Amino acid sequence: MPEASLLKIGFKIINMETIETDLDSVLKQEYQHGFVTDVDESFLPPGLTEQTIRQISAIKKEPEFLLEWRLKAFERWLTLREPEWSTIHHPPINYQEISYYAAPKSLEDGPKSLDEVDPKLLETYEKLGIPIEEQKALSGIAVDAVFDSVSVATTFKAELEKVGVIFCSFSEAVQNHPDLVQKYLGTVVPQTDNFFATLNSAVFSDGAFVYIPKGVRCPMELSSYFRINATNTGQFERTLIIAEEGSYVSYLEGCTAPQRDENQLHAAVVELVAMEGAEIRYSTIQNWYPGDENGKGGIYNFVTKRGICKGDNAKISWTQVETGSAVTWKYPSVILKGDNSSGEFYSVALTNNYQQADTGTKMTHIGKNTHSTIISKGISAGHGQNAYRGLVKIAKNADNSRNFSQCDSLLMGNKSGAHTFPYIEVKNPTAQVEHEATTSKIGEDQLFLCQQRGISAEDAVSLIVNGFCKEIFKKLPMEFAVEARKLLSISLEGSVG
Amino acid sequence: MMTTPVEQYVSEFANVKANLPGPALPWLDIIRKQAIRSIDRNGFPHRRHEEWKYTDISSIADTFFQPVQGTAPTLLWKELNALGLDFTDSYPMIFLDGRYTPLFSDSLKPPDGISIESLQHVLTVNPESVKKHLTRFSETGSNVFTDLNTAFMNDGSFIYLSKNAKMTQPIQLVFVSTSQKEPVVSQPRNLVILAEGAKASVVQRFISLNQNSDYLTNVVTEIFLDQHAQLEHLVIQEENFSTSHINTIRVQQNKQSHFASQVFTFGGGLTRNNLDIELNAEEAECSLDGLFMANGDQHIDNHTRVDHKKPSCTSRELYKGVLDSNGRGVFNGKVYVHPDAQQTKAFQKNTNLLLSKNAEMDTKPQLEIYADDVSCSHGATVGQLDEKAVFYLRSRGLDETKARDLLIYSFVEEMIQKVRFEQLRDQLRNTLNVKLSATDERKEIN
Amino acid sequence: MKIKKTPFKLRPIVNSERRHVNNNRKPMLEIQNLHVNVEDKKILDGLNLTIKPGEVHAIMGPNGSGKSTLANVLAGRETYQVTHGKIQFGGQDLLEMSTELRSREGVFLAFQNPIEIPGVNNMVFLKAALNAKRSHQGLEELDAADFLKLIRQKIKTVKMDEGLLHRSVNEGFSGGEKKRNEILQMAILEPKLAILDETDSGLDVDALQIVSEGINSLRSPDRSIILVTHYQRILNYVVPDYVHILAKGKIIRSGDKALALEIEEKGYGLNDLSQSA
Repeated sequence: MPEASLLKIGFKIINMETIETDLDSVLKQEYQHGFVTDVDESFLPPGLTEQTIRQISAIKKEPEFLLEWRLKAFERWLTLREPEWSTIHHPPINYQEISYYAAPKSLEDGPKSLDEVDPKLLETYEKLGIPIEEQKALSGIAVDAVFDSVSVATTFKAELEKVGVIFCSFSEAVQNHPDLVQKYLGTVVPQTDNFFATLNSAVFSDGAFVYIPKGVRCPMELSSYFRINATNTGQFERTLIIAEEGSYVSYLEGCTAPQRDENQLHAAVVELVAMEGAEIRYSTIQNWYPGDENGKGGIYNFVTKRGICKGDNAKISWTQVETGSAVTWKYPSVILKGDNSSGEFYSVALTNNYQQADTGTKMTHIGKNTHSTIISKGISAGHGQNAYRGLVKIAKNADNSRNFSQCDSLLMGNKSGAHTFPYIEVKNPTAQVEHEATTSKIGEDQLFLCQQRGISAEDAVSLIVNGFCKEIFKKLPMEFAVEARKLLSISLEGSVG
Repeated sequence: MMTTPVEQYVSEFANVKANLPGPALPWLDIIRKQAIRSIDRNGFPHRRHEEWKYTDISSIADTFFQPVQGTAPTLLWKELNALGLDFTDSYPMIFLDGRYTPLFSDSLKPPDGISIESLQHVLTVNPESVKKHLTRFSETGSNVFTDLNTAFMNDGSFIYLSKNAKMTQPIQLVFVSTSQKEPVVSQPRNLVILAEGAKASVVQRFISLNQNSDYLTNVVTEIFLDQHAQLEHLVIQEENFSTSHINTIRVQQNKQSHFASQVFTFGGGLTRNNLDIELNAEEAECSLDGLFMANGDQHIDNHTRVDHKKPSCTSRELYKGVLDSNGRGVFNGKVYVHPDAQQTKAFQKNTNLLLSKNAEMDTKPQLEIYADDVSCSHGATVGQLDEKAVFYLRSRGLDETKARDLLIYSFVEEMIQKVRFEQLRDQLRNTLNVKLSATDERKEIN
Repeated sequence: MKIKKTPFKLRPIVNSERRHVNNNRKPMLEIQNLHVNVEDKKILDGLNLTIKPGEVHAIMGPNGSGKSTLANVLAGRETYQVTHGKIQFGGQDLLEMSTELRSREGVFLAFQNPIEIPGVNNMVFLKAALNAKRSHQGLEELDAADFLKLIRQKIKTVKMDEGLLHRSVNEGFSGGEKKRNEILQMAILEPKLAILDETDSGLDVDALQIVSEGINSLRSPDRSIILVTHYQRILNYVVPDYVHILAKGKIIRSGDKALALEIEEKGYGLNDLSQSA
């Protein structure tokens, strides 16, 4: 079995049967995407002051309102302290040692087409298994690839423009659609929301912007890759997706990061706005470098993701597969403001070696007849610590609201931990809220059955764990599901004694 | 400048400490002083404190409650009878504002190997018998209310069962508050020790003599169960709606011991029940059952924590809540499985009925697990009565109120059924009926 | 439980069924003086058994005699501690081999209570198992299309509904479906030694017939079968070359199928050969 097929995190069209039977268990011991390309980068020296923010804003030629917005956030951030309530433990982060802006030098003027892209970058993608050209040809998926902080390539724009969909880098949106940015920026995740979101508001470098006009069903799945490739460069993406009345969009986000020893901070913000009858599906595969088997290195991933169902009958669905990062801290949430709106959260979080994850969701029911579903699967191996933390809040006027939550944890290895912290707050007597959680060890007899049929212990674990997560994978777009299964197998390596 | 209640407690302590039981005991003196220092240092918790997220105790924190001291006045039989208590087949101890009143002392004597005494008495005549355990399960600084109780500890019960001793009748500790209007705090302290293989049942009941009195009950109970010991422990709280009630129970369990707790909360304006269990040796088992019903402006907060510290222990928990009128319920149950505690079995469930527009329920079941060979689950639901069932009953001729009461009754009956003593079951059902009809009347008035 | 005696209904051994047995061949499996404990309790106490290629051995015995223990020990289940004795399989020391290695070398256990694996698609599971074996043998792994072809052909032998292939392994299967699924796995993995642990239990007559036909279709000169059973019933359909009676951890008697009939008539000393209705 050639390694290349595993390396390829591609968007090939794969038929269902292949997925069902795709059990290729080539397991590699090294992190798949662990290499560093040497690209000559221009970046701001480490440190964070008001001046840093003015510089970022100036480099990006931002309008005055955005600079002011950033500065306000920075002022606020100075008064905040890092939250301590999660189960996450990590050495203190020195925010003055981080560089807050990096751009591939050869791209400062912005590429007009793939031909203009630094060949070294393209080579990096090649190694990561994301041949942009091939994707264009094969998959019909528009790709907005983020290499560090500056968007380097955007494709399929023309096709999207035909139906009026705006899909571009955040920086482009600031230049070309400042009114939309100004109208929606920070309306879902306010500047003041939390330490990391406030930091992001002050220093965000780039990200993606999506606007789906009224009644439009986005003709393709939108995809964006986020990678970190510069030593000591925190990455602070900001994504804003607006789905107007009756529109639909499915957005895919996948991350890998080159291997390195120093911890890197990643503090993204994602805001989703769904108007009346609109639907947004947001899928994530997070595979940042998790650190080595001794817990050295790895990405610190502090993410604030939130969507609002602003209008009636709106729908927002988060699906995430979190296998990477040394530390994961994220709670993709939905504010169910419109009547009959619905929110979903489907999550797989896997921690191996010394990884820590504290993840979950907040479902805030404000409108009447609002529904939310939470399915969370946590897998802890090695010394991994995995916490589900969720809030279901039923406000006073949210008549006939419904929530169902199911949180299952699978433990492998007696140094691992699984924790479940659901918060349920109900203020309406017609609401129904149900939460169930289980924690158990991987079944000895299931392992024995697999081994008796000739499947190695490691493959058996991977098989059983994939079965455990099946409900979530079903929610992923097909090509993502394939990748998710592979990631899970790779991430579990070394977890079976 | 006005002095704060904390400062008042500190100065009150300086004033009364010479008169507290056991003033000549250096070990007790140290503990009391540590406790008052801890209160001085920490003050009362704010809602920002995770453990108090859903319960605002500023009404307690902002008032100085005069700690009740000395010995109890005599209670008139007439008053006691008016409470309608039934002591059939039980061993009663009556406390007035936390102080033991020897009402039945002539006629009652526990069987051999069992001592049931007033704590004040023990601290005076035989303090050595409690030295090893008293306050030892309640480290200072962990809970300001426990510290307050420890500093001013005046009376309560001391129950000791020697090896293999069995007490068949339930020991009923009845805590009656006689307070009229003045803000006082009664702080009974209970110590229950069951030696190897001993078996007993203890009931704590809390009653107000006056309906509108505004006082604080701050009771602390420490329980130690040695190997194979078995204890049933009931709490029935029916205080009036203007009182505040803090009930802290800490249990230490040795190998193969069994602890069954049942906590019924019907009364109290603001109630906080803390129940902490430590399963300290293999194959210890505990079951925690709770029923709480809040109406009017009642706020009832149940905090439980089970620490699985050693392998092969089992814990099971079921708390049911009924929230009506402006009632608020809180459930916060934590199961903590320590790294050594393989083969842990832990099950936890909290189900709640939310019956009114202004009622609220906040529930937070938690599993924190650091061992891998475990089987743990928890569940929580908030819902309402099945409207189809209500309709069915109405179609059979019941009026709506009756139909709803019947369904509520069947929801809570499961918890009452778990009580092993018939006379207590009957009393619980009576209380329940009174409570339901009181709610119904209020509805009719509104 | 209603207990009724079944009338004796054995059909004569057809010579063609014995055609596989060649007594001059080397043993496939040799168990010598096997002692096994489960949680420090002695279950097998000096068991000896030799099986040659192509032979079908029935192992009968009352409850608790150690039948299932033998089956599990052969498959390498870790909860069973072998305290003494040797097991040679095709000239190799079986006890030194991991569970999966035994499987890849051709030891197959059909479970008494087939285990459910939620979320794991039956087909995915079968393909993983087959390809693990094939790559062990140095063969190329089957791709999805070839595997599908193979499974469609094999599934006919057990008359299994194809829909079950797309469900999770054994999850929500009826008792009969689970047992058929075991035989299907056997058909696909083509073991050298198949150990069928009470595969007949819980099956009605129709299901028993289907399962038996499946087993018979897999008899071959190179494949040996150990039929662990409590009842004589299945031996009406799958006719053994040898019958052994296991009691108190030892084989106390061996013979041909006539022994099974004798046991059915006389019992193990317990009223044990009757079958539940």
